[in-house]
Amino acid sequence: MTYAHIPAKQLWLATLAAFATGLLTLVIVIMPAEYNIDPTGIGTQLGLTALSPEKLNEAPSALSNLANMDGLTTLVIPAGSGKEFKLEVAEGGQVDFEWITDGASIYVDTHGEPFNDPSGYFKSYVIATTSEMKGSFTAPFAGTHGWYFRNDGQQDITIQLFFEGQYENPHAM
Amino acid sequence: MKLSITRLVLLLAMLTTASFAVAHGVDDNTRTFLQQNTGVQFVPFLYIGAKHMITGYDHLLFLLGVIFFLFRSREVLLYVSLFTLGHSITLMSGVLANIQLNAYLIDAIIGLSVVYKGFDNLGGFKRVLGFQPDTRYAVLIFGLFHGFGLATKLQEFHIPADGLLTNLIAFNIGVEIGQFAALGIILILISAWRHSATFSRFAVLTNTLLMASGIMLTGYQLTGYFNS
Repeated sequence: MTYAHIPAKQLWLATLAAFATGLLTLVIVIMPAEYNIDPTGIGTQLGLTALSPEKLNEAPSALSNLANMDGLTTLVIPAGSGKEFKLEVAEGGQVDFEWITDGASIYVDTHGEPFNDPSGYFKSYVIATTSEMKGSFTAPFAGTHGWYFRNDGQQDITIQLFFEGQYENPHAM
Repeated sequence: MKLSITRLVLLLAMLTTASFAVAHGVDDNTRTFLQQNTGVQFVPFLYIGAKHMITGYDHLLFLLGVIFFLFRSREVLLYVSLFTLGHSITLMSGVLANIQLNAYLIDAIIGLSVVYKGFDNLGGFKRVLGFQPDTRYAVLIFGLFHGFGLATKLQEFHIPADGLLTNLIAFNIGVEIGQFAALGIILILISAWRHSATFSRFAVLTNTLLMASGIMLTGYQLTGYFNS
């Protein structure tokens, strides 16, 4: 046989069941999860709409709540180059900071240089390669303290940098 | 276990499939690969083709429906060859002639092919039309649409013209390797199942589920079309 020889009633029951199952699953599960379309509202209740690309792209960025505060800076580090961002801090001055990249890892040297020091001396507080960092430093000497970011990758990296504390004259170098 | 060519071939199919058992989401890696590698990349395209078929559950569901009531190897070979002929024609011409088709609509038709086969397996068309449309033609024609589906996926990668024909041929061969591997598994399982009384008992249920999955596929793709 190349098909199931079944009575007509069974065929129509099967077809009806197939359409019912298919349409129900579509409307309750698949459309909410894939397209954020939820005619019955059940998909949202089940939490499925959160899976849809529409909902996933709505999620707030990590630092959006910091955007209104002072000390928020955006840096773009081109591929293959480095940039510094420095604050003038007195001895004992404290700075709290947080920064996050657009996803890529970047090399960072959090360090400080004394004012007017021709020897080129600098002190590193943290050296890392990461995509985000949160911390604080207390300046061991008066000088310019901050971050040296180096992009060893192929794509430009954007960094959102936030800092607060006892500083003056934030500037990029 | 009795050693025979058939068993060896089926074992090979199983092993090939097992090595391809990865989830979707290969597309990003494929895209990156294609951006970084131009010219003829025969074996990579072979692999990409096989992977598309193994993870292409819409194609596999249709194949399952096609072979469900085909008990003789000759018939299986015939129908699978017709499907292969159909999808190879449109895969090659679709990519080479850069035929622009809406992927959602093509995939919706592929979904309908699954509904068709499930319904046909239940004798639906015999009931409705008084006769069963020649399944060989149906498989060939739906095969053409499956091929366009494969073509649209490949077109998304914007493969450069340099080495395109060779890469495309490799992709097509890869699709057949993937089909062979997947069919091997399906045939082993269904052959084993056919020895049990549960096969005829659950044949109706299985084809009902096949129809239902076809409806889900079609609806999913149509929603995507109207949403885009």
